Amino acid sequence: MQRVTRREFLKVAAATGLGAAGAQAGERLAWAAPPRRGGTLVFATSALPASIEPHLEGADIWQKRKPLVYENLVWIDYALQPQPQLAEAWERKSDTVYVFKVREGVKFHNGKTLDAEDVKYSYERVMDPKTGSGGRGDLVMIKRIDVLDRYTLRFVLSGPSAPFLINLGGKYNGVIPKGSAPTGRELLQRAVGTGPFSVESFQPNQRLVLKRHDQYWQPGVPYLDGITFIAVPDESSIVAGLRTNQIHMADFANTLYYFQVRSVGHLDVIRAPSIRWVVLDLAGDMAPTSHPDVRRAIELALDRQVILQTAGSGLGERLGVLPPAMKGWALAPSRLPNQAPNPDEARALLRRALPGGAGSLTIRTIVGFPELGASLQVIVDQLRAVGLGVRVETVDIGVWIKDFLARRSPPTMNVWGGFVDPDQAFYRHYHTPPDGMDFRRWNNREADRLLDEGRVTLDRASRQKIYAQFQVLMAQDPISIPLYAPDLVYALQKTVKGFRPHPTGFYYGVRYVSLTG
Amino acid sequence: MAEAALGGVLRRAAPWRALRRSPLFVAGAVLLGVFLLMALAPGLLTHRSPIAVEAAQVFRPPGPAHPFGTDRFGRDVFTRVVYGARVSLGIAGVSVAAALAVGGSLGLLAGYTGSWVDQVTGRLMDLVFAFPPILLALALAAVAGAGSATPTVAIAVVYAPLFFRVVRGSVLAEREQAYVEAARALGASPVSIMTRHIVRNILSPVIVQVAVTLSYAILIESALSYLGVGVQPPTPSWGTTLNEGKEFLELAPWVSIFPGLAIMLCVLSFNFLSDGLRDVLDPRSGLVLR
Amino acid sequence: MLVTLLGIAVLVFLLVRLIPGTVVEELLGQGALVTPETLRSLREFFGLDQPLAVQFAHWIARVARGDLGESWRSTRPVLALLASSLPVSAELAVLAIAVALAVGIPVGVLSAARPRSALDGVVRVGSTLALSVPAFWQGTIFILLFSLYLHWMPPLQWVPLGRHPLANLALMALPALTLGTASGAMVARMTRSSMLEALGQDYVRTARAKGVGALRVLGRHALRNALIPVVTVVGVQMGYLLGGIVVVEDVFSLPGAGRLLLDALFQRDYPVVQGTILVLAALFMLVNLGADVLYAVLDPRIRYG
Repeated sequence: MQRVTRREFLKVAAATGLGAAGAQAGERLAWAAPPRRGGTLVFATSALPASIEPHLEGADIWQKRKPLVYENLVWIDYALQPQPQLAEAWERKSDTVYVFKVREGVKFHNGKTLDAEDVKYSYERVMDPKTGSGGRGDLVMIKRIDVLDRYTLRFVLSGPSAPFLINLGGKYNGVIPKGSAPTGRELLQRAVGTGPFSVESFQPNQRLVLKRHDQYWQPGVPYLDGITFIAVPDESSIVAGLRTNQIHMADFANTLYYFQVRSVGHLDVIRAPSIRWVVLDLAGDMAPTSHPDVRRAIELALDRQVILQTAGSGLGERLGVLPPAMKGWALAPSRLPNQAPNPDEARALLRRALPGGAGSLTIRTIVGFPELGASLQVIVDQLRAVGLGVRVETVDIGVWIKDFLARRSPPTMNVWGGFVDPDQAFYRHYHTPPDGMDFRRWNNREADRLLDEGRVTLDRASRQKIYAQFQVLMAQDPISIPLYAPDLVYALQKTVKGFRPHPTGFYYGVRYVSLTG
Repeated sequence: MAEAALGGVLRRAAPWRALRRSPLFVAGAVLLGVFLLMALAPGLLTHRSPIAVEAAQVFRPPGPAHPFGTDRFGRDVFTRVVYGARVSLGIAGVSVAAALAVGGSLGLLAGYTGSWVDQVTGRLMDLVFAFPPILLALALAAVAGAGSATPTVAIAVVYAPLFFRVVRGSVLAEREQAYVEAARALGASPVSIMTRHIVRNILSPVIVQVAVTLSYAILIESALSYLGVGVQPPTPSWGTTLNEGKEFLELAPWVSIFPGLAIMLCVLSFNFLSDGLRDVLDPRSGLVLR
Repeated sequence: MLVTLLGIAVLVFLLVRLIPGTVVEELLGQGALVTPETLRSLREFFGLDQPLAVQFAHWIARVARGDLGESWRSTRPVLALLASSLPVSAELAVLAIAVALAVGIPVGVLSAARPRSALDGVVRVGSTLALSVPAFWQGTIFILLFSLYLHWMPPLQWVPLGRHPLANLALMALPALTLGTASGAMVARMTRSSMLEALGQDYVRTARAKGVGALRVLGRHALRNALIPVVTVVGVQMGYLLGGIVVVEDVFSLPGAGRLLLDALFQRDYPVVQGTILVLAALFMLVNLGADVLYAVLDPRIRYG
């Protein structure tokens, strides 16, 4: 095997336009004066995960905290671009071959030095169907991973893949030492990662205590001695905790608390756009939404601004298709069809599609998701105004997931996010089987074609056009009607400095927080 | 013999007049009457809809147009409270009635018949009774899915053993009374003895228990809604409205205060009624009224 | 009692499996791409594919050996989870009952000493009001008022009684108060009515006629007899207290058994749900038994034959 010298590699890397530790340095440049070291941040949310497995735990409440403990070859920066993290640099040898230079001198929380074998082990674990990781689907383009030398790694893909680099930094991944999770149970309650913080203790669903990783590969950071995450189920108690200075920082699941916490006075309240959407999903194989005209009628009957104002309390962005926080990909509603409410046309479409008279449909919502129930109430009103009756069905989350995964869900409210690339948002959900899951049974060949093309087109500008066409298609024949993108709501004591909200809602921006006073 | 039987009935006729004079009972009855009016004829009290969204009227404080203010959807809180009476009282009423029907009839059977019937039903009831009520309610709620039926079934199951015990205990006491012997001697069948004589005479503790249980039912319904497994929005039960208001307690306290008051006053009315009844009907209360 | 416990075990086992959704779906979450094989292998891993009788047999065999199994989500042993959470709930319950007795008995006695007076009226209405406020509501109001006007709220991070008794009590004060008010009202009413009954007895009237002071009569004779039904009430209260505990632990974010159960229920973590309910039910039965025994000890007229 040819040994690649570091110097040569970096030269090539520079030539292909990739830099080193770019945005991470940029974060730290945000200070005027060097931040104070020390202190433990007390961070409250309404829930904490039951386990902290890096590859198996799919709960969003864990994945948003994972960047503090685990890292990947790349991380997704605030502009949604892959940036070097555990990979110092990489080179795209061809459309299907990438060579990565693993950063030297990185120490795991247990003292072991990171090398390419650890990286290979970690990604292969996610790719292995026997592991049962939900992130397997994002790495399906990798044919094999070869270790070229101690710090060099080669990925061979089965075909050109546009989202490949981004998926390497995906939410189901995390580099762990080679051989550290043979049975799958070793890392459920403890963590061995390379991130700026290590796990000191963990009480499932209740408390997660992190402490500074003194041998973190980036010099000088993190500033905090530790972070204590606590779960406070009742969010009004979180407001009280902020008011009485027991809590430094909070991330509110219920955006309505934004108004309440703003009235406290001595807090910094941050509202940030998020890549998350509240959606009305229709069923492509169930009457009446199996009829494309009915779907369009529903879209025209809805006034999404009103839904945002009432159900979302105005805290977010009315949608289009993709959330505006997906800069570079999201089309503004003004460039999409069927965005303005038009009840008359809706009624005309319904009359044509349902000659028998007034139609009716069932829409599902989930217990414990108040924003969905609230939106549905408004939707029921607006659909009734055009002659479409709605029966509301409230089901438990377990039932909902089972039916959704089995592709037999009726029209339903839905809320999800966590994607940073349109392929991540659309492919699995809307492409027909066997390549995708088409959970809503859209069966749209044109959509398939666009998605397949978008996946293998490497030129960004061409990709943007493809996904623009896809969004137009989605607005024209709405199997899903994205309603609004709810904002992220954070509250911080004024002593908390350096926090930056990330559009995914993940806590990348907590890594370099410091406490004054 | 017949005189004894007659006396047993006559002795109980007087209390109804005494009830009317008991201030507690009257107060409770009046309060309950108001709530029953809300439940049965909400349209008389308000012309608005409890679920229609009015974006322009969000979070209005109490005023002439909206005596209890409006909530986050611009809905009139007074209307929500009025319509909520139907849901909350309905759930309480149906669940307690079911608990009484099942537990009470089993208790009547067990108490009068005795022997293996008593043993078996007693064991079954002990089983349910040994199950901490909220856990049973939660599990049942999760099984039955969300919605109004859920707290109803849960409350009925949880309180059936209580009625079983009360009825069984009273029946055991009454069974030894002279008039029962008399009726048996006169050739009456066990069923007719149970239904015609005993039931009439165990009414007082049962009625008291009903009133008390109704108040528990209302509170359990609101607790289940707080935990997210009770009545689902937009249906306006007092419990759900109370819970919804919690999210903006400081901004719009009126959304929570008025349903909370309704729950309190309703439970108060049940308790006044049961206190009044107990004072009059239960000779061991220590008061002079007999 | 063992039979009842077995019955509870069966009941909770079935009940929990009737709840729609399993731990597999909860584990994977909404966005995961899962193949039918993954679902199947995960179900096999948790034993969910086996017939109910087999699952029950496995579980009950382990329970008989004293092994309550492990949490499916966190793999912590259920016994360990209970060992850390039950003391919290137990402390809450004990403190709540202490509050209830400390407030309820004196109030009930005073009220019984002057029946139909203004004080009596206040007590009767007040106790009914205290009974009618839902526990979660009370808790939220307390937290709001204390944090808004006194700039204080109970610490959100748990400290065990052994380590920092003062801090622990500061933590538990409001929750115990919240839980104790409703029970206190019940105790007050019970004390009042049984005191009135005791006071109406012949021997009391005789003592009064002989010139014994009211207070002495109350203390020596009536009180002891009056307390008997109170003991039963406390025993009965345990069940309803448990409901309040679940809610109060949620509002005040206490790491007790109620919260453990709630989380496990929502995550479909069967071993934790089954184990917790079994243990709680057993404790519940023990407390009731204890109350019955105490009742028999206090009242010489009652003897179980």
